[in-house]
Formats: sequence, structure tokens, C-alpha cells
Amino acid sequence: MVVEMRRKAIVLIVLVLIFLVLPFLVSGFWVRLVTGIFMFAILASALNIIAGFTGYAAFGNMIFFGVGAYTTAVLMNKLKFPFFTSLILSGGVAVLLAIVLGLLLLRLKGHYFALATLGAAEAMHQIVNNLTDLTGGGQGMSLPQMRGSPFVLNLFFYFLMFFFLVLITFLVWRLSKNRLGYAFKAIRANEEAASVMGINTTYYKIYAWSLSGLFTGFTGAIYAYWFTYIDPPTVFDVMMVVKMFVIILIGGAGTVFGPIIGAFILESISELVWAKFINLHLGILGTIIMLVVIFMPNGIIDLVTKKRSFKGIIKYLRENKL
Amino acid sequence: MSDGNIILLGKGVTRTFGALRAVWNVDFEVIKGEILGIIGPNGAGKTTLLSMINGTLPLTSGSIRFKGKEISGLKPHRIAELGIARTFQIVKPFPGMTVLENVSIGALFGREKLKNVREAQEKTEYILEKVQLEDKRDVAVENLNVSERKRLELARALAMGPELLLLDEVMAGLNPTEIERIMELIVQVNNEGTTIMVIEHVMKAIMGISHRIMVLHHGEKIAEGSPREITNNEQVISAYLGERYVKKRQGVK
Repeated sequence: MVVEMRRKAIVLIVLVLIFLVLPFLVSGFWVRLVTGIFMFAILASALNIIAGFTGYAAFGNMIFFGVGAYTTAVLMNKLKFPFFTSLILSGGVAVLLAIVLGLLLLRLKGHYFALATLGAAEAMHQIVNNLTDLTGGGQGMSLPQMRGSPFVLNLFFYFLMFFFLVLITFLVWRLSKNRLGYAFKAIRANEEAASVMGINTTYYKIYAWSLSGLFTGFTGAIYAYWFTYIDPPTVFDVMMVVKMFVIILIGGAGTVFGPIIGAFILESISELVWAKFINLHLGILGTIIMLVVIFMPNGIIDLVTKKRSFKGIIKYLRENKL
Repeated sequence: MSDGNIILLGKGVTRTFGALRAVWNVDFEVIKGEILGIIGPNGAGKTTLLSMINGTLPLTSGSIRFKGKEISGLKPHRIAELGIARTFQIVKPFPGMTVLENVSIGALFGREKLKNVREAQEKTEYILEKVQLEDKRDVAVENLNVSERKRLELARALAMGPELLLLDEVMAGLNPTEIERIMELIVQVNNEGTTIMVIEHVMKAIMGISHRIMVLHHGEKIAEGSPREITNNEQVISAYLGERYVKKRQGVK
């Protein structure tokens, strides 16, 4: 047990060190690519808190991304706020939204909840689209550009995303062991039994969604400043949530490192397929997703944690009559 | 008996589902430190009554007081915090978690609200020993058999440190040896100071452990008393065995 924990710790430290020096060794293209992967890893980890741990498939999680992005854009553009103030306020707005929406929607279960969140996200999309004076409407919104050489800008966003990735990973790791995480997992397993055992389910569900919204909102804010231009269809894009779910599925739902591994795998494959077979892009991705779901329903992390061999997978398939 | 000894007091407790009177105008009291057995034919309203006590089902009318405090209308988690724990007839374990994790939820969120997971697990170990699941502590709950699941359900309720424990058919589906074991366990928990309300179909078991018995039939309370009084009560016999049997019995006398 202790040996294994030490080994895990060493692997983690080495990985962190690699990512700390990486941007100094590779070209700007790769730095931006890895920054994008970090972004998806944060988004997927955030979704993992509500969907993986608590069992609520928040299909509308893009609402926090969009609201985070637009809060930062409006604050920086109209009120001339500095970036970091806007970033923190964006997180705050996302949490407030999660609390209000949570009070309304978290009484729904299963696909009803999923659909309702989707509806909420679409409604917010349209609201932002029509508040032309504030948000620029369909034309989108430009943000003040950060000053500095492209090299410095790349480093800035790389390390900012990396910081939030480390932060959320630490948080989810704590969740896998602490009291709060127990409450989330109990709600996922059986909500009625959880409440009978003294868990205030409404409170903890909103807590989970707020955490999820906080990090999604932060990421949206960073995205806006990074790309310096946002418009409603991009930041409220449902396909982004679909991608997050795929990442969680590939990596392993309800695990700490699953979403990160998933983000790296999906984004690498996606980049590769995109470059080589542009016409077959979605088809190949779809095939990969189906293969993962059939052969590794608990995600790739299962291969690592359960030490499942190829033979083991075949045996599993036989047992499940596939 | 003085009011101070009554831990749970129900007045005119009623629950209807449309035209069905699941529980109709039932008055009851549970005395601190006793084991109160609830019996009655299928559909008599026993589980409905328990669900109203622990808040999973709202009352249509009436009131339930726990230690003098009105609890009808409170959310289940508030009632759990006050010190009422229950088990379900159809067990509801938390899949995806080990036995130890399942039970420690009781210690973390029950009456004591322990803040620290390690502390909760230490307390849990002791309860697992009590229900003889200690060698299964790290097993995923999906891999438990019926008897183990029933004991897990009991362990989770005990981990909440309840003052009043509601047991809904914890013996159903068990073999005689297992029933014997769980009976001993219930008596032991009661001796340690927990008041218990128990629903059971295994007559020998419930008559053996209960201090008092309450009989429900078609949602109404038809009898209450010591196990001996209940077994001789004509109304109870007729509810269970039919009126013809009672007439025949009287004829023989």
C-alpha cells in the first residue's frame, strides 16, 4: 500500500516537472496544443464532480463556460477591470448561477435533469445573443489584448491553465477521500438512502454543481482572454459538453485522473485524425468512442488501476456475453 | 406511565394514497428503551408507518413527536440527525463503495456528524465486528449475499448512533441460524440503550424479542399489548387466519 502510494507520488511529481519545463523546450504550436488539452482536462474534471461523483448528468455545463467568458469580456471591455479581478468575479457569477439553477433543476433526476440543463444553457445562449448593448449580440465581443511577445503570451496561458488543472485535480483527489466526497458518492448511489442516513441531499447536490460551475466559469474566463474574441455559438456550444462527456467516459467517470488521461488521449487522437484524415474526422472519433465504451466501460484508467490485461478484457466480454 | 418515558408519540397518524387508506388514524407511543414489534398481514400499512416516522413519506394528517418535538413535515436528513435511523425492507446499499465506506457514511452524517473520515472508519470497524462483517470491510457491496446485505443495512443504521432504530424486515430471506444471530444482535443493541421499532413477518422472532406488540390491519391499529396478549387476541387471529377459523375455534371451545 505504502510502496504503491510512494510510486504514484513519484510518477505524479515527475509528470508535473515535465509539464513545468515542457513549454521551454517545444515550439509555440505545441504549447498552445497542450494548453488546449489542459483546458479540456479542467472542463472534464469539473463535469466529473457533478456527473461522475454525484451522478447528475449536467449536459448544460457549457452555460458556466459561456457565462464565465462573457463576464470577463464585459468586465474588461466595458468596465476596464484588470484580468485577474474579472477572472475571480467570473467564477463568482458562475457559482451564483449554479446555486439558482440548482435550486430549480436539481430536483429533477436522470435524463430530465440532463434535458433541463441543456434547455437552461440554450436559454442563456439566446439571452446573451439578444443583449446586444451589453454583449455585442451575434457579432461577438473582442477583449483587450494582453501585451507581450507571443512566447510570453503562450507561457502565460499555459501556466494559468496548468495552475487550475493542478488545483482542480487536487480538489477532486481530496473529494475521493473526504467527507464531502462521501456525500456526493452516496447521492449518486442512492439518493433516498443517502437522505435517510442524514445527508442533506439538496445542499450537497448544489455544492457539487457550484464547484463544477466555479471551475468551468474560470476556464471560460481564461478562454476569453486567451482567444481575445468570443461569440455566443462558440462559448455555448453543446458539442463541447459532448466532448467533455466523451473524455470522462474514455478516462473513467468518478475517478481522479480519468478525465485528465481522457483529455490527453482524445485531444491527441483528435489532432492526429484532424491532420491526416480531415473528411473522416468525426467518423474515426465515433468509432474510437464505441470501442472504448464496449471494451472498457469503466474507462482507460481501469487498465491501470485494476491491471486489466488483454486476456482480462476478453474474459470480461465473455462473462458479459458480448 | 409518565410522559417523560415516551420517546415517540403518534396522534391520528394518517396516510392515504387516493382512496386507499394505507394508514388510518393510528395513535401509538414508543416507550424509551423498549422493543416495539409491529405486525400485520401484507398491506397492513407497517412500512408506510415507518416511512412517515422517518420522513420519507409525508403524513396526510396527524402528528408525530420525537422526544416532545414535532417531526412530521421535517426532511428525512433532519430526522436522521435528531437520532432516528431506519433500515429498508428492500436493502438500499451504495454500490460502487466498499462495505466500510457504506457504513462510515452513517457515522459521518448521522447523529454524531463526525467530520473526519478516518475517525468515522474507526468507529465503523467496531460496528462491522458487531454485525460480523469485519472480514468483508473492503469488499464492494455488489459482491455481498442476501444475509450480508441485511447485516450491512443494519450496520449502516447503527453507525448513525440512533436513539430510535426502525427495522423493516431485517430477517426476511434469512435462514434460521442467521435469524437467530440477528435476533441476538437486536436484543444486544437494545440492551445498550437503543429503542427499537421492528416490523417482522417471522412470528417466532418478533414474539421472542418484543416487549410490546402493535397489530395493524387495513391501516388501522386493531390491537396492542404483550406478545402473550396478542397471540390470544381474537381480532388478531381473525385478521391473520380468517373469521371462519375463529368461529371454528370458538365452536371447539
